Amino acid sequence: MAIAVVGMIDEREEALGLIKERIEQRGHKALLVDISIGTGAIVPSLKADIEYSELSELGGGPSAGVADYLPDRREEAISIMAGGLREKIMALCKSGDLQGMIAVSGLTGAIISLPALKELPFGLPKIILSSAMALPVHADKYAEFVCVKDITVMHAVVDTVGMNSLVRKLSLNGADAISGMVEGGVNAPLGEKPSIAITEFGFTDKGAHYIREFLEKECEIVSFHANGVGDMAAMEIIPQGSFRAFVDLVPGAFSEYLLGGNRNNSGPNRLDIASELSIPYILCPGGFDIISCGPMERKDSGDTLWESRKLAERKLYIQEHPRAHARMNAEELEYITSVAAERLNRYQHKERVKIIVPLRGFSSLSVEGGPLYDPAADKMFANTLKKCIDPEIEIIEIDSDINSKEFAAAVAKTLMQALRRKSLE
Amino acid sequence: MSRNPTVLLIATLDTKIDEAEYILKCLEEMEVNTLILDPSVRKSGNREVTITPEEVAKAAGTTLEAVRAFGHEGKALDTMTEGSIVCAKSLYEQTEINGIISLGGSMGTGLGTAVMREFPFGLPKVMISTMASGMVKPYVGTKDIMMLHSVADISGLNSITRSVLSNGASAMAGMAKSYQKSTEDNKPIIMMSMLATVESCSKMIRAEMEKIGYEVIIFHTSGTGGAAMDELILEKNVAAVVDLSIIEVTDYIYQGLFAATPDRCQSALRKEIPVFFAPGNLDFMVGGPLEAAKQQFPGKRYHVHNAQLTAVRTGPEEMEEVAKYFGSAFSSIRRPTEFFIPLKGFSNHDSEQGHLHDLSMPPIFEELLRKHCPADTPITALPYHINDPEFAAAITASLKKALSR
Repeated sequence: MAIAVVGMIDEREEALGLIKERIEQRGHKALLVDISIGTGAIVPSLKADIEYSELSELGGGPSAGVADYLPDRREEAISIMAGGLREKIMALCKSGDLQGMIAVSGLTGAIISLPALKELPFGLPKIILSSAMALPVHADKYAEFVCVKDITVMHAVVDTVGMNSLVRKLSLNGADAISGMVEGGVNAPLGEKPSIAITEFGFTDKGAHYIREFLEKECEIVSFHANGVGDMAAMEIIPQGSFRAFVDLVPGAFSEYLLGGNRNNSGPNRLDIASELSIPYILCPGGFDIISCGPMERKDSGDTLWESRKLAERKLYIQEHPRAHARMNAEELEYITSVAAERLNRYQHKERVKIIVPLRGFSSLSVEGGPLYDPAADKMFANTLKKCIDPEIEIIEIDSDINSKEFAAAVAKTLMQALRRKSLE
Repeated sequence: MSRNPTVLLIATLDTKIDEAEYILKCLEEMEVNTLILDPSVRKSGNREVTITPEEVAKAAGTTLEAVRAFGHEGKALDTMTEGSIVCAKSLYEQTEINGIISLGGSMGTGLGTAVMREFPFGLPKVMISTMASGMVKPYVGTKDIMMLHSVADISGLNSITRSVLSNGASAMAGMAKSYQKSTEDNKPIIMMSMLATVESCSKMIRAEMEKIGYEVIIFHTSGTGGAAMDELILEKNVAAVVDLSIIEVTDYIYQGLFAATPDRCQSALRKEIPVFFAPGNLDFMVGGPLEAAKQQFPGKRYHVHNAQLTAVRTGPEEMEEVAKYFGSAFSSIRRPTEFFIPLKGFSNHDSEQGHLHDLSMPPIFEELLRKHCPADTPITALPYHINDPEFAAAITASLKKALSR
């Protein structure tokens, strides 16, 4: 068993050497993995346990490393090394030889290391120590990796080249943190109750809370924040199969994607999370009443979303900056429901899919007296569903809003029934 | 003699008490003592703590009742953040703290990291956060904060949150046990800015200065590094500064992607320590993907660095603005020790092998810089490329001379 210490030795020999030394001092084995691509000027005296040449070959590149690719095939060189590293790290992990991974890098090293970090199983300690991880320019790129896994990003502030008091502190802190995680991880107890995943956001807070209360005794509930980013994490983790059921209280990221709202990060496949799983899947229309459209400056600046959907003419709910929400209209609700139905009709186990409709509001904003109250538009959801959905999928209508105890009770009851039925099979 | 370390836990116990208790339990198992700061707004008295919500509000010059009466989450957060910083700092002065750990969603992350940013580099800082996505800059700023992404919401204990909380606590325990206050080295420090495009120059200077007993700390000037360097120059005892990459000045003026702070390159002038400049990377600005870069900077030469970044060739107009920027800093603050201009090119892009080479530009910059700087500014133009060994040697010689004075 070892902790992988990953970096370009030809650029960062001193920091990598110190981290390895410190990890070993603490009684662990360190496995030094060299991802050099030939950019550095150091002729190292430190010997790698896994050489860059091996990674290059594993990634489909030349056995001499990718240095020859640098002048005009740089991107290819990086993707070869990233692929090779991912393969090597996953092989070590699968054979049970890996306790954790720490990568030390600038920008290029981060891009090479992140795919491997992302692939490692949840819970296994993973740290990236880099001065490049706080760059706003690359935030979207990084998000693909760090949004979906428990990767610890340690901001280096200074470049981790050479050796000086700052790099020394960073290296020791990094080595101590990964060692500490490995030492402490032994005690992390696993939950004994079956795990249930749920999506929720601020406008369904109470509903989610009541559902948790109803289920708490028998299940443990893992909640994903339906802000677009949390949806991405749900898409990554739920299909891995560790949950016994999935309550999709707020699939709003799907309508946001279709209509162009702000919480659209999770893309077109948001409703397919459980499509190949054989677990009970409960879908509610949380968030299918709003379009996230802040900040308000967009209103008068010729913004495409505001102009094309004429949002300024609608009911609006303006939170503190930069958040604002517009009411989804009947026509849009009909459209997103028909696309959603099409997605659900493709589910492999349709008998396990239940749709529970709160007839008096899909969020705290759309209840009677709320800023986005529009019962006529809300009706389009159930009406369209009845027309388009496969009859094998059950629709349950509840004469209450999504944040009520009655609704939560119906969700909990449906879920427990489905779990029981499944356990009898 | 080994003593148990002490860690400060910042947690809003009105919403996160179970999760906070779990962290406390993990830390206790690893023989770490804890102090607790509770900046809750909704409810206080959730458990015994070191600093109560009432004390936090008081430190911000108000009361918890008044904060609640705001009826505005953002304002309440600002006030409790301000109070938390005051309380944490005074605690740090009274007793030994070997690390700060916090957990939270969007509000808690803002508050926790705002406190951490007030503490010195090197002190272990762990933020367990639902917000640890790709965009961490607003939270980490220019500090060495560890952001541990919770993946799922931090609401209730379950297999996922337990694993994340335990990992965060363990990382903190690992670091806090060996952290000691003021482990400053005795070696004098030189701070230097660069990008990979001027790396050869920086490497040669670093090697020479390390040989004679200096520590050289390198900052990557891609929008955060230069700002961090300027901040640390003011904070730490620094012998000299070599500003080899000034792209953040150009990008600030022209809204390129590597823009940093409006007063980039000025800290060393203000602190009156030896400071050397070279116009490293003045040959380009940084734009987004090629099409976006063309739109932002029309009619220029472009070099696609990767799918996200395009280097855009600068011309006399940009050179003049940058010359004016330095001229004004040199006349209003102080002259630099020396400004070196490499007449054969300002970066790897601006070299015979590069895609943006233009030999006519360096002399133009020299002329403009002389025009806009006070007459007694030490400007030295040399017939070399910035990455030529002779150029690095000239800076090194001048640096050694200034330090020996």
